[in-house]
Amino acid sequence: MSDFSGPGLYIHVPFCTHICPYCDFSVLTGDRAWQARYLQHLLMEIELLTDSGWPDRGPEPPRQPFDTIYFGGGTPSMLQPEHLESILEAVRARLPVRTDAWLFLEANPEDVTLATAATWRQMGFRTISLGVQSFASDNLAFLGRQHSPRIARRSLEVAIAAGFDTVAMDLIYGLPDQTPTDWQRDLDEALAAGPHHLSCYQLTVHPRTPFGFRRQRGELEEMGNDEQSDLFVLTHRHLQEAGLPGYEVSNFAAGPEHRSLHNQKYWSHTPYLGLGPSAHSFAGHHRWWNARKIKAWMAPLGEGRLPIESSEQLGLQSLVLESLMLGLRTYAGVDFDALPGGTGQGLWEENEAAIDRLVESGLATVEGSCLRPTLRGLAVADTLARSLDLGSLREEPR
Amino acid sequence: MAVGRVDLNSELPLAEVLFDFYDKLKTVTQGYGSFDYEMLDYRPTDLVKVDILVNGEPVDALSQLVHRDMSRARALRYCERLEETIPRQQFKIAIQGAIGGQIIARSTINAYRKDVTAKCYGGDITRKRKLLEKQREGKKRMKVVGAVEIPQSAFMAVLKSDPQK
Repeated sequence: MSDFSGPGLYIHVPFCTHICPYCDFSVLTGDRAWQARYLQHLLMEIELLTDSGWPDRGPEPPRQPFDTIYFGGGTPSMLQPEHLESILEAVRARLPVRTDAWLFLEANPEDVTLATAATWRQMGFRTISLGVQSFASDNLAFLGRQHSPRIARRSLEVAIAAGFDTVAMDLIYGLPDQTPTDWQRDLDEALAAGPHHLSCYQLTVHPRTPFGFRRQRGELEEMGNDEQSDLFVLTHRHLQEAGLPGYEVSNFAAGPEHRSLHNQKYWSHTPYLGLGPSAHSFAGHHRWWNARKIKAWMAPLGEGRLPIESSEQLGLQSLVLESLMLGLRTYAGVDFDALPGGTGQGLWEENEAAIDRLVESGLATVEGSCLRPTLRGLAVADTLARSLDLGSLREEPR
Repeated sequence: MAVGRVDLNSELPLAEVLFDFYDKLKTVTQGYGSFDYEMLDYRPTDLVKVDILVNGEPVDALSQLVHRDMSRARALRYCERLEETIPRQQFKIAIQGAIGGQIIARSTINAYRKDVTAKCYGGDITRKRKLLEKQREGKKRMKVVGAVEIPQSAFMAVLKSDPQK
């Protein structure tokens, strides 16, 4: 497979037919009129970018062309095919995009038919990611999903038959009272459907979502820490044995060729540009993000301005903390020789005792210049990241 | 003395009234109680030094001289309070009360086994990093005994007396 180490493009499509009670993304139940307005404004946003493809700000923009284009949401599969085509045309006309850029589409199972799958394939989408979440009817009802287990299975069959290079599926675990047996049953159903990639997310209850309000009222109790850990370990071990080894906290692939080329950019500080409401972008040591709500995103575009809500410039300490935080979420771990600013060797020496403690506790291993989490360590990756002392790095935004 | 008023005179060790005796008095008397004291004298008594150990390391700030009759109950209460107020960490924490080398009370805080968030994509990274930065700042305000992070609130909780039932 050729190298996909260039920048990635993310396009946020905020529409859903129904908003799930756990969702805290920027979404709305917009009709065709809203979708048309969204398209119009997205094309404006693309037009406002500079020739390099990046906003006219900050340091030197990345030189390489975009090599991944990811439609996320929301439910990108809701968009009319002609709208998707318009977006791809505009992106290719305006931005430097590799001819063999890898295209990703998130889709809901109920939107996947022989016709739509064929259309998406013809447009060049190579990975389809299906929001299945569960194969159990009661779980689907609890999660507010609009499809049945039968439709979920059918969507996998259709996607695989359509010839996508990677058919990926999202699942959610850690529902209240879910036992390891329940979850393993769901996993086995998923595996039987033959996906190339699985993303298994523990249910997270966010404030200001319907689940969050239920929790506040005492009507929803989250799974305890020990039970969460049991399911986490079960997921990684069971999928490893089934031929879908993990490569990140929540992501599993049937081979390196099926790992998400786009998502890996987030974890390696590879530049990415985000378009659409709430989309985030990163380049060098600069991160910026669009207005979250669709109207707030549209308003500046209507006035000829990019819809950037805020930004941050990362100093060395923040960059290094992010490298640790992101790297320790992956099976590959963190290569200290590759840390920003050449800080790795000094940091390792200063944290030798802390690193030894992690190794002795069975939470990490050392391989050359790499600190790699064990499975137990992966489960507490956030703690690993903050357990190293970065005090010697000066926090200076460049 | 007026009807409905009670005058209680006691001889107490001063150490028993130093911390929150006044607050407790006000609580049990619904604010009506008042309190005054005068030093009488020094008297010999059977005191022992109760040490609190966290993963085998003594926490000097929690060492107390206690009457021997109360030493086990006090040590047990300290261990229980610390169990309630020290947050779980990525390893098991043994909390012990000891007199000299003898362990007289014990509690255990099990390690947490999962803290990592499910998703970390473009929109999650800044929020996650800021949370880690906040936790790192919070860690600086904690007392670290061995590798165990003890928040200041744990010390205050330990030294408070039992709430009135």
